[in-house]
Amino acid sequence: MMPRTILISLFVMWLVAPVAALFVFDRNEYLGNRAVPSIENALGEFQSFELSAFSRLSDAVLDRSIVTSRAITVRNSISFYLLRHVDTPDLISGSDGWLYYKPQFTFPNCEAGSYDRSFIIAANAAAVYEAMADTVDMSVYYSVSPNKSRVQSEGVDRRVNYYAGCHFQNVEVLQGVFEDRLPSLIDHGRVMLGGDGSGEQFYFRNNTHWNLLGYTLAMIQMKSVIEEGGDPIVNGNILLSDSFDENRLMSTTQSMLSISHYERGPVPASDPFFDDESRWPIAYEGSALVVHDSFYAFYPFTGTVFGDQADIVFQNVPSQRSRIIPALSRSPNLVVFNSVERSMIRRFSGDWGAHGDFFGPVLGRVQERARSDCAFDAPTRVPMSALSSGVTLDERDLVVSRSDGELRLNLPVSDQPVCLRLDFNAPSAFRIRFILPPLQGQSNVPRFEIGRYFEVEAASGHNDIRLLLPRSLGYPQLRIRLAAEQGDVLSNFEVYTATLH
Amino acid sequence: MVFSDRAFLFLFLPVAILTILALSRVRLRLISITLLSLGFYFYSSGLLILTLIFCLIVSFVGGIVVEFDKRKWVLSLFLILIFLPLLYFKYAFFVAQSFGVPSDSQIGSLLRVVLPAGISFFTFQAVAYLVDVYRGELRADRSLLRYGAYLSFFPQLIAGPIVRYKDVHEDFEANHESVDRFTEGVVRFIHGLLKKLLIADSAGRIADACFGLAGDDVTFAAAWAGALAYTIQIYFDFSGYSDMAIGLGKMFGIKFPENFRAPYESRSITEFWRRWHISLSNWFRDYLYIPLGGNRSTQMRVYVNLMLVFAATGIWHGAAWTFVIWGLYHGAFILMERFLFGSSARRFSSEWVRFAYLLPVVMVGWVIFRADSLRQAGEFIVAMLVPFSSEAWTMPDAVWVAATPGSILMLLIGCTVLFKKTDRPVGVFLEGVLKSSLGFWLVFAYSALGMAVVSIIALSSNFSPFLYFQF
Repeated sequence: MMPRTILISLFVMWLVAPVAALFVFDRNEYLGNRAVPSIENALGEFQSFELSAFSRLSDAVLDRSIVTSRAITVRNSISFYLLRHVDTPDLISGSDGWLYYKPQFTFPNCEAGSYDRSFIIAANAAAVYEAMADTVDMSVYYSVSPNKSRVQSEGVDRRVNYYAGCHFQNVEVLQGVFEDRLPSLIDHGRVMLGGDGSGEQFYFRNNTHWNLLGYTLAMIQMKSVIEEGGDPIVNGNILLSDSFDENRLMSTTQSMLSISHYERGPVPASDPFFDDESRWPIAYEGSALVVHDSFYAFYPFTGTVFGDQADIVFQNVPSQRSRIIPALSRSPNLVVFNSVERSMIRRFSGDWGAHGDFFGPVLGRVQERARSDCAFDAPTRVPMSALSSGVTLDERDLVVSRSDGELRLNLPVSDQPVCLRLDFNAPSAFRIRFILPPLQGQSNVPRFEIGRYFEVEAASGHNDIRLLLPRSLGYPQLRIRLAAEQGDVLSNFEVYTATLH
Repeated sequence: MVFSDRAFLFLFLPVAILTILALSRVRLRLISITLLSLGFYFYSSGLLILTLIFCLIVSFVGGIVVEFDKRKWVLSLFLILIFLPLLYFKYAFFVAQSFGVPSDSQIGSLLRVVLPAGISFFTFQAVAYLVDVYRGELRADRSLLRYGAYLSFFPQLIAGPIVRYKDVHEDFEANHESVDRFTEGVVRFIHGLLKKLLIADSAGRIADACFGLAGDDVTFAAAWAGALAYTIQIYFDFSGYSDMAIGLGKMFGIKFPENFRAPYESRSITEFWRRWHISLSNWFRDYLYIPLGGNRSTQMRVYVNLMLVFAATGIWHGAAWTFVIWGLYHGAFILMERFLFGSSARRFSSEWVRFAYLLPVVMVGWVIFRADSLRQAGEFIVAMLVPFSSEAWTMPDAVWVAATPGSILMLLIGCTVLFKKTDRPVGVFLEGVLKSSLGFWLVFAYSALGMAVVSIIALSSNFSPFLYFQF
């Protein structure tokens, strides 16, 4: 063959290689943590002559090719090992070979107070969920797996700091907000940074997750909080002398340089520390639900830690995530919500707090228990007053003149859950927002504050809403906001309280 | 869609090459070239393809009419028609804004439209065709298919070079591809891709960081780093694109003219413009400067004509005052060279002239060209002149982050063009080396390595458009 023909052949093979690889090798269904779009859908769009259709078809075809995934790995490896620097849309390398996942810098804005509102709402939503669940004997724990950059800050250099912006300062604000409003939060960073074990390496250098030492410390903390009600006294020497050796701590098999930042690698299938049946599982009564993300999923011992009676859900997997609400509906005694730090605000403000879908089963159970356990056959009328001009009390009718009209209710002071009953007729359905006063343990917080509420649906016609409010109300007043239509008259409006049977 | 886009490289191009080369009949090849080119354009600009089709039909019909009827007003009528879309899409909003029309007013929103990709290029090609026919230098083509294949030919459609029909029409009339030409095309194409992906994009990251700084943050060091990085970026980006276009043309048997000839090796601004974007310079010379009177007018008239041509050159690049000033800035230096040195300014013999005069002038020019506004250009140039302030030599964080070891390495490699002593483009050199046996295998190894590098970068990168895509 003529040399020039060889070059032409090589060129043609090079052009067709990414597509040809689809027919020869396995295809990528995921690239990193992103699902590759379907070729069929992209072809459908292509035929519709949309301007971006060719680009989407190219993504669907080329991202699926193993040549693309190999190209990404080779490029990142050359950058990291040869040039000693990685800067991709997802990753940034710091000093001394430390790699950081860029999305962990969730709060980069430097404008003062940029995130305060979202922090407060998230903390309050989680606190209300926890308090309401407590009224039906469901112990809810929130745990946070700290961002690597907080625990292993030794690699944070000028470049990493540039991407972080004011993230680290904002995290300090976040911690202050949560300490005031959700003191029960289990921050795994507390034991890593605060005890004798500080200075150890708890995270992989080139993976966003913690190593076995970090994971173990987190599980010990979880055990200590659930069994003894507080953080463990960290003794790094005990941990290290027990079962750890340097090689296992320093494992870098789960490399962030590969395309998947949580691809599975040869993590240990067993471990003497977790095989010790005298230590595990954590002691608690009844059943448990553990909803976690990739940090708890990184080692296969979470099942051992919580035992067989626990329903363990890796929420990043859609098929597992759909199990959460049914599991909550079965009324587990212990619920653990675990999130990586970078996602905690989104989750607490969304599904996990009192404003999200996961609150539904708890509210249902609260209402159920109020019906069965409250002595509403001997009720006490609750004194109430209109808090704004949005509502008017007229004999037994309540006229709503604005959709943000509020009432103030004066509740009895009690160390028991407070029974509350709203009885009225409504011309149309609307939502009632119960705005709670500070809860016990909450300090430095205003009497009424954004986010500290839950909502109940009122139906058109007669309503008999029965609730249990937390025993931990720190102030005997409650506000309710009636988001009814302007001009609606809620007739025979009465609010009662009662004692528990 | 641009040439370094993976969608072009690994989906469009294989289909185009296999389709066009599989068809031996000229007519079928022209049909496939036209359809593929229109598809290429559609997926770049959507329904704005109508501007290309309009330009194609008007210039095709105009060519036939003008060939028969050589009255000036007939030619002018068709030229106005051809220029209309360019004037509307590119300049109307700029003119309106210059007269104080607010962008959120009814007229402003009517004029603020998306620019069809490459409209400046295909409009100028159509104008050149029409004028050449009018001048009798070219016969009007009676085949809409052939003329359409030329005007829409995707390798040069959106970023040049500005190819004149009289230079390439024979290549469209018969199949001229050969193994030799195809091989040269492959080498040239890969070389252009490497220039774009390795050098231009790396330098571009640093330039973007420097030009993204707020006015107060631009230090002496950052301003010079930005000017240098952009000087390298724009050359490697645009000449890389031209290399790719020339290479693709060769693969399909069409020979495009060279567009760059080591411009930073020039020793005067006059010479620079004979080496930079040659097809544009030639176009302005033949279709604007000479019709205005060229060199055969009075001295003052020549100076005025030159400034007009350079103002037009500036505004051709974009509807903004920065481009106009950039054009006039270059025109002023050419006038000065003519005034002081006459024609000898074209080639000073001393090497130091390049570093003491040509490169600083060109770099400052690129600052004006790259800046978002005249104000930013002014701030940059002032910063370049103040090396003694307390923070003059500090590099802001944004630049520090962009200047990765890889980017710096590529920028340094790119800087070798500032020291080159040959005016033969590397792409042309590589094609020449192919003729010897040892040379072939060296170029083969370079191309094979280049393909691997391009695969790694193109498949793993975010999309990065060519600078000249926007003109």
